[in-house]
Amino acid sequence: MRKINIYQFLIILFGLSLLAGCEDVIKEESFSVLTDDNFYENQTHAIIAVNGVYRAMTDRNKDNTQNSTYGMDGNLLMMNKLSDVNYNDGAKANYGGPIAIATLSENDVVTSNVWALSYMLINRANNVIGNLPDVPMDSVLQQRIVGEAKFLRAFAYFNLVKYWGRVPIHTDETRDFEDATILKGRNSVEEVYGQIISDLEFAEQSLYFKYNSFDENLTYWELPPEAIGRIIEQDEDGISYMRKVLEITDKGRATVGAARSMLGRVYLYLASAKRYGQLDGYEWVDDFTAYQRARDYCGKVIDYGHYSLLDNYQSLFSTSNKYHNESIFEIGHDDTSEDQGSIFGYWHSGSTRIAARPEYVKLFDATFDTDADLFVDSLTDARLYHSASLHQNKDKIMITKYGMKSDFKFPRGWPEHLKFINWIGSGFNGPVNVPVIRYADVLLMMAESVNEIEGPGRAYEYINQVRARARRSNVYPTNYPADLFGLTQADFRSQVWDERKRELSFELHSLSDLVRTGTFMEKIQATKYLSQSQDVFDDEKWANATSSVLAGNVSEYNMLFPVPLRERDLNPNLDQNPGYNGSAN
Amino acid sequence: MLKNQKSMKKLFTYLLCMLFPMMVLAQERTINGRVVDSETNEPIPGVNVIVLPSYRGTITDMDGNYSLTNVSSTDQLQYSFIGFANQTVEVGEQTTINVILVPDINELDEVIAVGYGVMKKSDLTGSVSSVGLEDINMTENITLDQALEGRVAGLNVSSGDGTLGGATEIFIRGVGSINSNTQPLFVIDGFPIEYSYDRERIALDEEDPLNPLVNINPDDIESIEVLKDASAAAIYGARGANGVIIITTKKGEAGKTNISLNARMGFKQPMKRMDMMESVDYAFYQHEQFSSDERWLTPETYKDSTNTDWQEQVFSQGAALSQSYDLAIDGGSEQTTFRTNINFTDESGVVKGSSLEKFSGSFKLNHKAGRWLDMFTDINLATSGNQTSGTGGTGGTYKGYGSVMKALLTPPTKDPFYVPTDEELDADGTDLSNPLTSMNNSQNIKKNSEMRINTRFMFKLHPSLTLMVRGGYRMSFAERRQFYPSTTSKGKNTNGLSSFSTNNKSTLLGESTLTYLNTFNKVHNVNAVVGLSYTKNTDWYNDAANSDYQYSDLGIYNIGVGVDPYVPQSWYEEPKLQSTLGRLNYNYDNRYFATFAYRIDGSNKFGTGHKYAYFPSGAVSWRASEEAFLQGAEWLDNLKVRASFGITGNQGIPSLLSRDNYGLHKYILNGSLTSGVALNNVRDDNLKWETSEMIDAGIDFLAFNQRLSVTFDVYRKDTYDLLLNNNVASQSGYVTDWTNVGSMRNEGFEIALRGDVIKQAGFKWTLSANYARNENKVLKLNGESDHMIMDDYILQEGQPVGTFYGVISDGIFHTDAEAEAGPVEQKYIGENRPGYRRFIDQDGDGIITPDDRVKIGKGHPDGFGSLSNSFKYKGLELRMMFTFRHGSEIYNGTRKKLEEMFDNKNKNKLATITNRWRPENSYYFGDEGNPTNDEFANGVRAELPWVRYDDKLFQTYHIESGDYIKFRSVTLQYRFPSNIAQKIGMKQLSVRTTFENIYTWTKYTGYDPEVSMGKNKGLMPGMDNAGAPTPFVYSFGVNARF
Repeated sequence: MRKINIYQFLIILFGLSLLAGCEDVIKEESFSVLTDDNFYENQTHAIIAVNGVYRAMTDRNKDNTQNSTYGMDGNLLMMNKLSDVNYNDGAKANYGGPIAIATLSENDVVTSNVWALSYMLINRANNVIGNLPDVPMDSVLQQRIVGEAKFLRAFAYFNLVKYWGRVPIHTDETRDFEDATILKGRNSVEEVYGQIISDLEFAEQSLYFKYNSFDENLTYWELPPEAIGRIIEQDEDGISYMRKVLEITDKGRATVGAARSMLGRVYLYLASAKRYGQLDGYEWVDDFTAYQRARDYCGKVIDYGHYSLLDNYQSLFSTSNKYHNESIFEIGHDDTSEDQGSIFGYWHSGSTRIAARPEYVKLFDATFDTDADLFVDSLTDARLYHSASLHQNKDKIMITKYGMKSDFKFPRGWPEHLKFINWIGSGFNGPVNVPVIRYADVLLMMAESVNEIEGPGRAYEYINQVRARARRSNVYPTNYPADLFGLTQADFRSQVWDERKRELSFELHSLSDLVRTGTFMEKIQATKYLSQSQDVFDDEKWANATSSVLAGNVSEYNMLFPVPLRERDLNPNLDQNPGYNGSAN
Repeated sequence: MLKNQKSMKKLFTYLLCMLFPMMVLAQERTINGRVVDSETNEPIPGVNVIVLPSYRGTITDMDGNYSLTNVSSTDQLQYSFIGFANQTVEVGEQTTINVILVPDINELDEVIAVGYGVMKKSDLTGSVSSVGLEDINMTENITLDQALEGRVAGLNVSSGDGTLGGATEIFIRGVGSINSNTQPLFVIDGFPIEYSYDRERIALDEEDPLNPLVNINPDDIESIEVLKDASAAAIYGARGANGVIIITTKKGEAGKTNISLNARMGFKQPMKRMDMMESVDYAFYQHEQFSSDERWLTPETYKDSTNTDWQEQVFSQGAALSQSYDLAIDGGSEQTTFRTNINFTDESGVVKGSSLEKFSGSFKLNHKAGRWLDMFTDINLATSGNQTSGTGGTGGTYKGYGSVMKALLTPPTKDPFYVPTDEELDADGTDLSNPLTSMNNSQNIKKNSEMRINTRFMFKLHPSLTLMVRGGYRMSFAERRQFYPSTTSKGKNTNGLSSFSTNNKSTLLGESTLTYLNTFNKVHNVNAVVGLSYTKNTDWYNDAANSDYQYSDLGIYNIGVGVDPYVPQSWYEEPKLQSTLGRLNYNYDNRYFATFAYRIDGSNKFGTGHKYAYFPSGAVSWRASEEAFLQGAEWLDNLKVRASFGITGNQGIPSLLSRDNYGLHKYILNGSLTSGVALNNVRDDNLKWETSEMIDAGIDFLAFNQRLSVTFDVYRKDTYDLLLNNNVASQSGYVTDWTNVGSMRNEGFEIALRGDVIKQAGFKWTLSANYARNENKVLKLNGESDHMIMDDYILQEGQPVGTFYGVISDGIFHTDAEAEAGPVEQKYIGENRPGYRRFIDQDGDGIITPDDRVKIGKGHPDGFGSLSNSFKYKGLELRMMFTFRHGSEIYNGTRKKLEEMFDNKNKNKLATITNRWRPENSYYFGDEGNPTNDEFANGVRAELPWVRYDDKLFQTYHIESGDYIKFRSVTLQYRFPSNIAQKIGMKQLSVRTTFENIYTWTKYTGYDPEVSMGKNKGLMPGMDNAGAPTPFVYSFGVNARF
């Protein structure tokens, strides 16, 4: 063989160098998603991160839940089927059937998924709260965003503590999956509330002012001085508040009003759960002070003067009227994303949609036209026929939000809107927002706490505002529902609790109100079964009606949901709530 | 094998030839001549003709002719060609020397590709199976998997849903991974291609994706080597755990230019049809379920009413035509050879409107630049497209309906031309719309184009040292276009729906190896290779979808017509792999062999500190037949025992798991979508490779003048650090997390036999068979739980993957007393009644709950194999092949859907449901041929529950044995004698006729027991949901060479 010449040598060298130049090969570059390399670098990142926390309420990510296809599995509205106003025949576990008839087991799919989705939200909030301090940005906005994340985190923990009692507290983002990190045991109820209240108090001082308290068309210099710029105000307690107003495009974010209302709700829950409820874990509460706090926070929202009741009850739940003056916090939905199955998602039409019990109809103590197909013809409270419709020859009363087709076989004279109904959506999407806090709720909370503190006297003003609006909403001018007056403290108490059902049923309050007022067993055990929903008008049939399946099944331990089997399998540090499989007793 | 061997030998010969210097000497005399084969009398091209003692020489051209100048009369000419005995002729005074060479086939001298090099078969230490041209030609192959089916012991082809060109999966020695990739690595002429489905946006989960290997032209394949054990596959390191399939394509041959044409035309029709109810039976059934419904006619009326056979309607009338043409031209000189071919295939499916069209072309060039450089380049362009009509059954979700399932369910009382009502379109799935409506109106087109350039330079640095430098680029462009107008159920709700997605992938490959080949002291043979390899992949995905089509005329051709678009999506990633490899083969005196191989792979997918992994392997073998004490055994050609051990890896996990990964989570603010992100994955620095350790021991036996060959292998493969999307406590904010947990074992044996039963003058009967048995077992999953339930399968420690999990059916309740005694299904508490199913109550609580589920079958077979025969008499050859499988079960989802009666009053059922439980005096006419009411009194003979029973549990009644023996193919081929062929201007001419899927012996009641639908056939095998039935194929082919 002859020797290799210089050209050959160069070619060989070239071949080898092909490989030599690839030292950085093992670095994984990211292109289509943001990663730790390039995230949390600026103000925009902070904003989109907190938007992702909001989204946790409507994310129907199949990867985040088990058994989740289409449907309602993992929806908080399904959790509230366990009540004296919601009806469900018990079918379809992923539509909350076992919850509705109190046969749920520890591997119930809805409760398991709500647990998982709530912690998904909490972890996202923790991610924002933990990372924001290092982001170079406007400090006021930075504080607002942390406040939003804390508000949402508090909201999730409040749901968890209401439905499960003691729950593990995670306030740091999950960075690894070691046992020490993720297998925490359950904290006490007191500790959970401590976390909730501290988050909400931070939120109250960090969030911006209500977004649409002023006419949208006002120009900057026409705004009231309190809304301009980064104004820090102090209220009579010496606490500072951000007074910066949100952009119109920020409608839907948590505000000072939302934080205060939520604080009012938390304190009212604590106070009444201590005074009337039968749940363990609330012994530490000073109920009188808690009622006062509830009153004070609700009072601040009312005194603010930027919220008001809408004239007409039916315009509350509309695709065309979102973020209105009565809305304090609501969950955004539109018709572009399939979000059923998330904790605040939609559910689609079908035989097991949300329906009402006859007891719900009975709350409206007016005369019914016995021949009425629909409550709209009857002389009663507008809220009934805006929420429910009779379904002839069926055992349920429909409360339908979503998926109604225009050719749906409805009884004659259907109303323009039912609560949550989506008249125009198609497929699985519904553009009606889910109301979380309404001004009417704040008024009723105010009435309840004032009555508890000092008796009904000054409380009538608040409850009667709500009743008057219902009266104004009637199609035919009637006296229903009339103003309340002259009640004893106890009568007022039970009236305000009923009023909450009339006004707020199917808006996530049904179960927690029963539990905190100690009426859970009493009211649920009194529920009856009617094979035909129109029999509710027949006094004789009503008197002879048998007890409902739920009434027969319900036990006191159902006030709390079982800790999901999946979680207990994975985490031996989680004990079960009493009464369910695997619990100590 | 003969032709294959020859071609390989030619190739090898060329390689050897270039080692000999060809010098020009002074002229003496010119010798001409022709070399022919003693058996066929055909000329042999490429025969080495060497002038002794000077060792200069030439090779014969394509017609076997040669010419040598300057030969002196004292010289000798030596004719040698691998596969033939050498011949030496004294030149004397002759000027024309014609030689007849006698075959001396020694399959041990066969040279096969082993990855980064070639080896003589006799030198192998690992477990490698070869599939030659003769095997490939057993069937008419449209895609690569058809060429492999039944050809290799231990290689199981899991067929798909019947979509033309659809995905099949290939398992070598069982399923080696839980969530990670289970497919072997494919290497085409040294270019590695990973099996991965295209990402695509599909409106319906109805079709399998296109087979990622659809663009490999089976007519272009010369041979296939399957590397099964770790010692063979370890050279591919992190991608070798599932085995490696090496494909060598045909190359050009020196000599006169050849033109080869391979044409075939075929017809197909469904192999089997379901026996469905006809109108009258259907009417009885309807009446029994809903006697008061005024929509039903009386059964008497149905006797004269429409009776549509919907299977007939959706299957192509008559027979579906398919045709394929492959035209190749090759030739060249000793320095330069080329081969170019074009291939066109057009297939129609058995379901109307389904088709596959393929085109491919390639150009290959081999050039020897002097003694020191040899280059090869291959440019390949191929495109495939299929049009489906919802043929894919249900595409793994088993929730929607494919067009075949729809056809089965549509009532026979419906007219084929009925226009579905809005309600029917709306409620598709519960109600049915006309299957023909969606087939005729929707468009569903998949297209996959591929370009591959593969260039290799070989520098001969020294007689024993070769440097190879390879550069390659592969680009594939896949697109899926769908359109469903408002007249179809899918498009109705959105007033028309279209989607379009593309997945554009590329692979850039750079490799160089240094090979050292030498013999010391005549007994120490060394073959060593070291190399570097770098692969960079890009993967682009884009999609768009639109809805609300106010007119549908333009369909997929203008998706902009819609006025309500969906949010488009895109994705890009860049997986990379950087590797160092090496292998040392050493043998002592061709008796003792040892191989050590290693590869170090670095992948960017894994966590810091685990990016690189080291995959060593070693093997030893002993050729006992070469020992002195066996030299006397003349009948023994080869006896070799082998043993190997090695480690291979698997990197088939999604990208970006080693990083924090913020995904899109948009939220609605002020009524409109606003950007939002959230952490989807937490950075994991500990994520590492899936590792397999394999031990293999084998025997190769060849005897009786190579008439009997036996290969036997036993193996055990343990896979550790299984990459698993593991369940984690959701208080972490996540429900799953990718981690390395668990281990799994595959063990089994393989045997392959080949024997020439009769080998007499002119007649030869060759019988070959193979069989493999594999036992899979999950050794460990993770610390918390010993099992995972995945839909209707359970993954449990100590159990094989693909284990069905459900309740055991125990007949039906026939009386009130029986029903009262239970056990009762959860949903029927308090309502149990005769005519409902009875299940075994495992936990004895009287209620059938998910807790009563047990293992009820397994989807992967215990064993499988094939048996082939070939009879040759002169130019006539008959080949036939049987395949078989045993020990697997199939969930017959087709039968389940066609027998469940509740809530399906508008759907037709199998004829078997006449054997359902009926209440006494039920509405039923004692028609001739039907059982009488008396016979059904109290449902004495009934096996199926009554019409109102809601059959929702996953249970044994629908599990069937998947055992089968299939008469896979028979081919009759006639090769015209060369003198006849030459008269009509051809070098070669053969005609053949092939029948495929002729008959299946099985108890399975579905279309075909060889079925597995869904995109994860490894973890969820044996699921049948009425895909397009396997066709019986009749085809006719011509192979001509000009």
